[in-house]
Amino acid sequence: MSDAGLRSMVGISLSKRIQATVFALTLSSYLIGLVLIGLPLREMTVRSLYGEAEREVSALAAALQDHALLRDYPAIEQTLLQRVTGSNIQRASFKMGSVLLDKRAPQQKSRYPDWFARVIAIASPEVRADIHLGGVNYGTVSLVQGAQSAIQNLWTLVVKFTVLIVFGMVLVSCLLRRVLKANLGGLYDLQRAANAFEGANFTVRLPLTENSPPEIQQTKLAFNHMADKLGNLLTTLERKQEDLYNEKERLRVTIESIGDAVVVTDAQGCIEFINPRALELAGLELDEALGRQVADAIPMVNEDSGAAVTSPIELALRRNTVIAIDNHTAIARADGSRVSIRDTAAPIRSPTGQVQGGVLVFQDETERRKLMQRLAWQAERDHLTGLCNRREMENLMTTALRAVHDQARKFIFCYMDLDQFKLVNDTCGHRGGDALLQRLAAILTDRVSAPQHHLARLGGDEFGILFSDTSLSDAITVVQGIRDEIVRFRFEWESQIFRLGVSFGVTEIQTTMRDIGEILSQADTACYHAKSQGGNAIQVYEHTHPALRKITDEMQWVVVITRAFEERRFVLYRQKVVSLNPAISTQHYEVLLRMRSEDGETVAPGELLPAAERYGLAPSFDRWVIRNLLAYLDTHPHDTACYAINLSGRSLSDPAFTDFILDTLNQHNVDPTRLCFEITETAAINNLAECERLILSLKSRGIYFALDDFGKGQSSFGYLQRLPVKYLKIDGEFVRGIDHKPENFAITKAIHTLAHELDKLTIAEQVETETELACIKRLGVDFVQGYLLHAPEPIPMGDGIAYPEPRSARSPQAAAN
Amino acid sequence: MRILWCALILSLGPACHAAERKPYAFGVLNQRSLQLTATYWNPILSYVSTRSGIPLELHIGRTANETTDKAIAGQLDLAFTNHLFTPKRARLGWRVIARQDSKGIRGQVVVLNDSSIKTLRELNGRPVAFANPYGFAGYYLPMEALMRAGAKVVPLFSGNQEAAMGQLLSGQVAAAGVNNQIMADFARRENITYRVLSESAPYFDLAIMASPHVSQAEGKLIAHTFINIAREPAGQRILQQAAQRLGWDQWRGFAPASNRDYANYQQFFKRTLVPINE
Repeated sequence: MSDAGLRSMVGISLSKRIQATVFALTLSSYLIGLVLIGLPLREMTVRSLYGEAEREVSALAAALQDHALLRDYPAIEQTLLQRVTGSNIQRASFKMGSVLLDKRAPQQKSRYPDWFARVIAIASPEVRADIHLGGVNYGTVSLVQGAQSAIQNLWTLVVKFTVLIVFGMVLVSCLLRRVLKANLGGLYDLQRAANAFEGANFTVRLPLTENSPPEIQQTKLAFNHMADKLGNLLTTLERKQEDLYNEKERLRVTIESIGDAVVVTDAQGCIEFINPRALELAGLELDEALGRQVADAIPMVNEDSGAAVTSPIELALRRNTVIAIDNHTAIARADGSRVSIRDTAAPIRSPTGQVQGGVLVFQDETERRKLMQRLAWQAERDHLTGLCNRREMENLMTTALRAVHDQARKFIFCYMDLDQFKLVNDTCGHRGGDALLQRLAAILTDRVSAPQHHLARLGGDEFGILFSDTSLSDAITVVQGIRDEIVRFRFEWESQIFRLGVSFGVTEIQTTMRDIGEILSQADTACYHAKSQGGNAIQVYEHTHPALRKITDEMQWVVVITRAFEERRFVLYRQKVVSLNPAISTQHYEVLLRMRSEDGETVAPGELLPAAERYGLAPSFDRWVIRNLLAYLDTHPHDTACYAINLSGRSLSDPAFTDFILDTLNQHNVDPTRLCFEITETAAINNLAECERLILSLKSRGIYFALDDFGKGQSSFGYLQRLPVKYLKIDGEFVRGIDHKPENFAITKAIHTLAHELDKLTIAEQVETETELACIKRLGVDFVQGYLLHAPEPIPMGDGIAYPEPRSARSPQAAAN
Repeated sequence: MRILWCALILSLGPACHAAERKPYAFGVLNQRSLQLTATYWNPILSYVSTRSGIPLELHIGRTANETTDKAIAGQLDLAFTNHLFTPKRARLGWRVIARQDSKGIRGQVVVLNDSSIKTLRELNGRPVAFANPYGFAGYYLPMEALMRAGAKVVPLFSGNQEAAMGQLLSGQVAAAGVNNQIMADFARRENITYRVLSESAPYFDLAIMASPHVSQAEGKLIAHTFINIAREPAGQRILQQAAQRLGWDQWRGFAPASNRDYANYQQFFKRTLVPINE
């Protein structure tokens, strides 16, 4: 079929096309059949016509033989007439000499159309026959055989054939329609389903009918499978689209709500999107930003130099890479203000890598940079005083030490410690203490104003001064000026006036020093010594100075003590505390700690304890003593005496110490009322609040407390109201010589009287002579203690009791824990 | 004699040359079908016409009676017949000029061989077929025998003798009155057997007769020509072919004859019991 023929069929349904094709084929077959059948039939008809004519003329000749022989012309005429009547003979004639008899059949109207006769073109044959009898011709018979009947027969045949074909075509058409309807129904179902799909109805599925052809079945099945897959795909797509929309919304809301400023540009750097944060930071309105170049809308400058900075988005677009702006960039807003920013610009690439635009993200760095500056400042400054802090001082000292080594420069380090700061802090509270420190810092800053010198607050009331490129004498001059001013200084706080003392330890940084620890140690040692001088002293560290040497030796004790712990060379001693009150019959002891030297000698506690207290080993001793004493009492039930244990000030400030005591007590079957903890007056005052909590907690379990060395420090009777101790141990300084020193007697008497007034018992320490004992008795002191009455003795731990292993071989503290 | 005939022919020369003259109507008594009669006689007549120079044209009636009527009506010039010997017709003046050279004819009453009829009397009251009521051998002679035998039959006329034989063959009649020669030819041709209940005395077969207005000379010439057919090879072939058409074993020529040869016909008619149809 030609293209024109195909185009003419556009819009015609498949069913009609098939029907038209079948119709055309049938029609063609009809015409071809008509030709193929008609032509031979025509020839046969012509032959038949001639044959019939021959037969007719023969028959007519035979019929006329007798008449011709008899010369019975009327009979011949009659016969001719009969032959042409009611037959297909159009004309019959007989000629005999001059006799001519001619008969014609009446003209009959044909029942076939003239065009058919013209098409079929069958002529009426004319035949002749002579009548010969015995060699004599009796005439000639001629006959025209009419073709009308034959043509009529052919026409009838054609009509019947046509009717048959038409009937066949109608039948075929009906059958075809039925077949097409049955077979193409599935196709139309597919068409409807496809239209439904086109109309976004993705739920449509095709029913599988049994009588439809397998191709349609398979196509339907494939369609259903396709629809299922497409449905799933669409569901997934919708879900993903929804997710994408949600994600997009989330991103939009996020971008619009995040603290980061986001600017999206096209490939030329013109702003296409800008979030509210970016507008806020840039100081723009939306219509002022959109469509403008980023460099124009959001000009950037170096916040330090003020010089214009190339917009990072411009660089990112130009270089097709991510650009991170440095930390010194700021937005120069139209109102003249600047906003420090930190930002990143990145190109937006297409899948092919082509730059389609860029995104600029920046954050307001103003606060962060301020914070960083503040943190940096704080990192090296003391927040209270504004001075350098300990770390900064250590850095400076490290630099100085390196400079001493490398450049032969001179540096002097001075350690300064306030003598009465804790008193102010406890009396006036922390606010008062802080105010004092700030005042002092101002004084120091004023005094150490040279830029090469550095002033630092090293700890609570400790300060350090690093003098650079200064001689020792010049440094001491400055220090003396500081001391004098501090001495003159009067701190007033809520109508209270405090006078301060201060101690200075000065050391020169030497090339022999290995680290700053050595510098600090020397300065600290010198300061410690200066403090021991009664305050307001300045001590320059000297290797050869005996006192300093002693302090240095104390430091050596740390090593000794640690090793003794590892080698279990600590032992418990006890000294009786004798009751002078007849009503008190229970034996009392004070537990004492002794260390055996490596050669077995007992080391005096006067050497041991200061070092332990100074270097933080005392709490370990306290715990060790408590653990071992309770173990002893638990395993020696026959010993029903009461034991007093000394606690260091650091143990009092340990929040976990109370729990340690209670836990240890729970581990042993020991009556808590047999225990008493002795707290020095100084330690109690320095840790007043913690001490008060400790006493109250343990007192509730029946444990007693004694205030040791009472009267030695700057005690205040007011403390006794806050410290619910049972005993006051009168410092041995007042007890010694009580028999010949009236002031000692008076103080002891006052203390005893006060204690009794406060319903507390008194203990006199270090009673070493009978006269002293007599005086004490006369005063009515409840207990006495001293070598006169009982020299300390080892607690009989027995063979079954061994001192527990230290838990850590490194330090007594670890072992105690 | 030969010289005489030559002279006769020469004298008739002008007549011979007059080829366009009206031919003589030569009637043939219907003994067979018209076509068979024409088939037999036309070659002979053509030959005679050619030889004699006297054109002869076959004329025949639908039936023997009609042919005889034509002769009586003067429509014929020559006739091959034996119907003109009855008393009235004899007076018309026809003369015998020749006859067919045969053994003569006899009248027979025949039945089929399987017929139960053995005698003529048994035919009394039964239908008997005859060619026509004018035939000599086929009617008068067998009817004469029947009447003389006292058998009063119901005559059925078939038109010619073979038709009467056909009726006998089909069983429509109990017997047939026939010319013995024609019957024998018929039986041989149709392969049937028959039984002769009665047979007459022999008579010459049909004679070629000339009407009175045929001159003697022409009569003789024509008779001579007929007689000489069998003497010439061409004539013999014609006679042979004609005999084959009729199923004869042997062809038959013509012999000279005169009225005397047929006097027994006239005698029969004088004494016959059969009513003469004239």
